[in-house]
Amino acid sequence: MTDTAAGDSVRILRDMQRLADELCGSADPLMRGQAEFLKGRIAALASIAGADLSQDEGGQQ
Amino acid sequence: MSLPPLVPEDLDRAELGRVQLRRIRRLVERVYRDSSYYRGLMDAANLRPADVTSLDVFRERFPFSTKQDFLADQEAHPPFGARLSVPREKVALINLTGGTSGQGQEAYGRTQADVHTLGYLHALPWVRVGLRPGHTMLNCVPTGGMTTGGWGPSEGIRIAGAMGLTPPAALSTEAKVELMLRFRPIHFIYASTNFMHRLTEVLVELGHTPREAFPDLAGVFIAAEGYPTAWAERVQDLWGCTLHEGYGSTQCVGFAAATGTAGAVGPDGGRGVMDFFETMTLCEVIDPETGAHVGSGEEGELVVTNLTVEASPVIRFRTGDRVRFFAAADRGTAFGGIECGGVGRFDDMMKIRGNNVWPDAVDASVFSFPEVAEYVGRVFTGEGGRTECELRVAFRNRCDAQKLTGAIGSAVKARTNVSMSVVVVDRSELPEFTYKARRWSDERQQGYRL
Repeated sequence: MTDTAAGDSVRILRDMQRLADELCGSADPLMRGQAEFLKGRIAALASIAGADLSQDEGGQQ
Repeated sequence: MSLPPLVPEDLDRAELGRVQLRRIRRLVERVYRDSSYYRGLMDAANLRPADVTSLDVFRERFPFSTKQDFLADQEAHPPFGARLSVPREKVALINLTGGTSGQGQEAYGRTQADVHTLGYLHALPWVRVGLRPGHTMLNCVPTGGMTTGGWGPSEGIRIAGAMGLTPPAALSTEAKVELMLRFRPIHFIYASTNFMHRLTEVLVELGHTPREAFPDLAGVFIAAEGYPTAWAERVQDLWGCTLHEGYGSTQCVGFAAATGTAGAVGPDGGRGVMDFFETMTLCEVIDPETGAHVGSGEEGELVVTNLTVEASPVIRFRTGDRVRFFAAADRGTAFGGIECGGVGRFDDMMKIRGNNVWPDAVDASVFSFPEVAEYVGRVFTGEGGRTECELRVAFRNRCDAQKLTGAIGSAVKARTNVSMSVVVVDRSELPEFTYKARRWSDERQQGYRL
């Protein structure tokens, strides 16, 4: 990864997250599960790279 | 938006503070909205998310939580407690603490993202000090189970791009050595302090010189138990590489601090310092009596806040761990840190073979036998470097001592997950406790001689 790409990693990861999100809508439960796995990994990577965690989860209690 | 690199020498403390505050504010907003546990704490402290305008406000006004608070929360809102901040169906992994306190096990949900974070917070300290993609790493910490420490190493090794050699815990040390030799070159080792000692002894007993048998080692990394500095220097000499140490826990979702390239032995031959990973975990060290922050160089209780955890974040959690704190300003780096080799407890918990053992739990097992008059216990480093536990038990009157010793050993094992030998002694050989019983002695460090 070039320095430019490394500096832009959060934007790239957010784009990847949106693509993974599309896969999460699959009718195939196994594809959906794998897409959720992928989306979670990307979310954590984005967080490690400097983004904040998504605020759109929640509503638990 | 991107973070500065996690190398203290290159990090700006002011920028780190800005990152921490941004993350704290998002965290506080989220848990106030999604967790009735944290909302209740904040309401009771008359604190609203919008009030958290600085790290100082957070440190001064956000209430502490303890293990007992979390257990009470779980009791009221089973199974995760109301501190779970995501819908239950988003939990991909359940973590429990060890459960040997006799008080109960804290439950933590982990989302898919949290599982990655958990792996990252194991890989981070290893990669900082030399683990690289393509390396082979020996992981001697028991795998699986329900604790974060059981899942983290394998995740971390994969995240680092390395090859994991993770022998089953039940395998003998000799068999583990065989595996190490078979899968050479080995580049990195992760083990508890005690197992690192044991592994070194067995290698030498088998006629190997560790630094010659494994010349490609980039480092050995220990956690969980203290050690004398002379032992640390000897390990470095025998293995021909730097000894590293990490501080971690289930609450920290992995390691919250670890040594940098300098390692666990300081430049003057004294104890080194573990850097806090402060972009991921906010660490405070307080006086356990007053709650005030201690000064640099002083001992206090470590308090942790997860900055990037989704499901079950801990916020200002009092660990009960006694650490010696060093402020970033005094170290000439961006990160604060804690002293190597000497992390202890403010309660009496002992870390034995990876299990958290509270004397209260052993008391409950031993004194469940009405024939027992008194006992004392000791944990020590036995022949061959193994951690051994011995209970010296006195009975009240004539009884079937042989039958009872077996039953006591089984009861203790069931409660603590640690096998302890039971020796019958006369009551006169045991002390009379007139105030608080101090039944346990930890003599392990005296046994760390290589």
